Amino acid sequence: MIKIVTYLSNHQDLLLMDSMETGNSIEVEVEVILSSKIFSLLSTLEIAELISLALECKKRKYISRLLLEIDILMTEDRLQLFKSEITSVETLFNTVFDAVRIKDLGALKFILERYPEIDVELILDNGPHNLQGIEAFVDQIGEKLKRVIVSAQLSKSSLIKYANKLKVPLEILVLGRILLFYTPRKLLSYVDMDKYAEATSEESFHKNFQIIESAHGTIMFYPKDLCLLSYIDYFYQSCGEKINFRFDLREGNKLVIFDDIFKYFKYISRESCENSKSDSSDLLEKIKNRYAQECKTLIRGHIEENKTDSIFKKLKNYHLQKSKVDCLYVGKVLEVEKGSYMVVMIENKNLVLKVGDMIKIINPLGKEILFNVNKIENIEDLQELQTTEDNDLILLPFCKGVSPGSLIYF
Amino acid sequence: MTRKELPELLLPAGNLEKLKTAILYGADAVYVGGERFGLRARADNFSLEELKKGADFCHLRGRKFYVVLNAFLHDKDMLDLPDFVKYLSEIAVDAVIVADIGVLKLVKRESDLKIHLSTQSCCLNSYAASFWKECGVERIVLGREVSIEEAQRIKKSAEVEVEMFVHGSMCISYSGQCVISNYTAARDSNRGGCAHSCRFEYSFGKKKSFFMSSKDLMGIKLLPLFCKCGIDSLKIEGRMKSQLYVATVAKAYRQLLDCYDLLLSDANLWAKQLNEMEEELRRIPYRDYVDGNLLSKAQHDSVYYQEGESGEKDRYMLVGHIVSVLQNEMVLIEVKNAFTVGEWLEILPFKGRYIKLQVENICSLKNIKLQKCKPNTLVKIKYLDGMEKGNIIRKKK
Repeated sequence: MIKIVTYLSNHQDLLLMDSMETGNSIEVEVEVILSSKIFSLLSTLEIAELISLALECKKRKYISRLLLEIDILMTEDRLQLFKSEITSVETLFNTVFDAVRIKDLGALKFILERYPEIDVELILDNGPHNLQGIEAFVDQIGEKLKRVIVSAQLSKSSLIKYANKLKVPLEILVLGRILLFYTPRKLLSYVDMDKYAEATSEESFHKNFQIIESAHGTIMFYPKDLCLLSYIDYFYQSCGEKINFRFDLREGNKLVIFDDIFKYFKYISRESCENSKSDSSDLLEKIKNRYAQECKTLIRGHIEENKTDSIFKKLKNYHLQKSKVDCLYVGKVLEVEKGSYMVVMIENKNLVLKVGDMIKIINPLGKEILFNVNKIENIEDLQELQTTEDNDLILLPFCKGVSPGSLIYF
Repeated sequence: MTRKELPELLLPAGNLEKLKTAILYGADAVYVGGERFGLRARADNFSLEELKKGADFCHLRGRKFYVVLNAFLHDKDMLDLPDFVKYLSEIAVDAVIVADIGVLKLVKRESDLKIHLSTQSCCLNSYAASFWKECGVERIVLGREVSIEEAQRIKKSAEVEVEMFVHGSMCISYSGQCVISNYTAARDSNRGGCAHSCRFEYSFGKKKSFFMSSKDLMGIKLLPLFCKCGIDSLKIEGRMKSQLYVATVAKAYRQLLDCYDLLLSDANLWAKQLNEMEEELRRIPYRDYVDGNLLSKAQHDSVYYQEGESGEKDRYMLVGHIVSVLQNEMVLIEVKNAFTVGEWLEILPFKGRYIKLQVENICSLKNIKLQKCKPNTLVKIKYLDGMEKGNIIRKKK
């Protein structure tokens, strides 16, 4: 069984879904996420509308599971309010809603304690990004946890590894907007803007951010949407139903492409024999083209490989990093008076610098200079010393090529 | 209240020099980063030897030494972590500050180190605090969206120590929930690569604004409330900030905490002290101060939105620090920014009001008289009563 998870925003969406050929599969399951504006960053439904929509969804046989999403974060006061708000839908737990999807760990814990019968799903869209971390959440939450919604920062190799090792399925975003940040502050109201805006900076790659303000604060989306359609087959072949696929088609008319998505999933599941490989490629292109009418540029994000740490080594001068040779580190050059002296701070209590020692000095450009210590002077009274101690400030004779910040090693 | 009954004053230390400054100016504890696993890839950070030195420096003075392991690590990053955790345990680190539950479990497995939950985990309520307590966390650094009064209830309900940010820069986003840099600069903001995109000016058509740039937090006037509500630790933000920042903030908060009892006996004197310390805090770079969410939810005045104004105010600069007092006649200064004969300098003693000094003479190490000195040099100037080794020197811009 291959699972598609998608959002419905309102009754119109449901009617649109009704009009699609989504009910004729035994291999493809459609799960639907609903929410209300009191629980969600993007939903606009009142509680009564949510209940009405949920009851209608429940009548549709093509919807295999119905999920209530609570994706807001809650401070203590907000959580106390949530405890009363959630009672308005509690009668739907396990009768209409099959599970609750939650981002805030406190809200999750409250739901588990108050409603021990309902299944939960945990939204981990900002990490962890390691197997131990996700496993730890799964173990800590226990058997009521039925799925984890993982981060778009994970690469395909990580996803496959995790899916095959975890006790519960993973859910990944396949197609939809990329959430960049979430703040409780009302950033658009502060600048007298409408509840939706596009912001652009003169800095590279900071253009056309979509910004939306709601009762819960402000969220910002990347201008390019994530599209992992071409990886679905690979994931399904590698992990079967251990990876579930989410489509966020809430914006504009994106939901109209769902019928083609469903067809594509039927092909993936090998249920449909009609489609040849070239047909499926055509279908993928068609989906992308139809989606592109709503959203401009699509990206694959970090799915091939997450390289967001590769630039770190350029952020600092690694010639001046000393961890690997700590034990031979003597100290740091604080001042260089050309032709006269160098001021050195001794920073190793296990090593003693003596007259006659040969030292290696690495300057900030990475150049290594060998230097014979033929004289050491105390900085305070300029008396000559034979040896040094930790934290001593000393003068050594000038050495060409050495500048402040250079590091000294044996 | 004795110092032990007061909230812990927790300062950032970007390197060993700043650590010493923080402790000498009154921090009860410092938090530092190793060369990996933290959130400040660009900071100096501490080598293994420096971590040991830092821990020893703190412990010799009865202060605490915490190490941040608060990056959200990927699998490959976890490989070297066990050895590092064992090392931290060997050097008797007082606690590690962790955001990632995978890191937390690894620390529990590999050591007996105490674990503080980083603000990056965005723990905002008592149920979440209970969850983390069940995972083995002893203290929670609450999200900056939590008020002092909420923090009090979280502490009581979850029966866990709580730490709150009291001063410094603030993320506009819920901490740990921002990935702008990941997509715009290929730098993982939750592994130390934040590119500070929120500080840029943005345009909405013709309108321009720093609409995402949060003003800075200053909670000094709320110290009585922090004390009353039993907040365990008051955290100052800023491992990337200067030695002048560390000294000024540590001194201001220490001085006011230490005269907390004065509040009950002489409110006017307390108010005078408060004004004086607030003025001190305006002598370091800041983006206008607000009290954030400490009392109630941050509103429009918590953000810079003026066109063409980034907001950072920067009135004083670091001159250097006193390396040595030479027979009560001269002091030796490590110079970070140049000064000349005739200029006025201000020395920050560890306690009490700053000392003003007009420079009469500058001497090199070889006792050659200079008219001006250069950055990255050591020079001697006249000693005045109250000057001590480690004192920070500043001047007006």
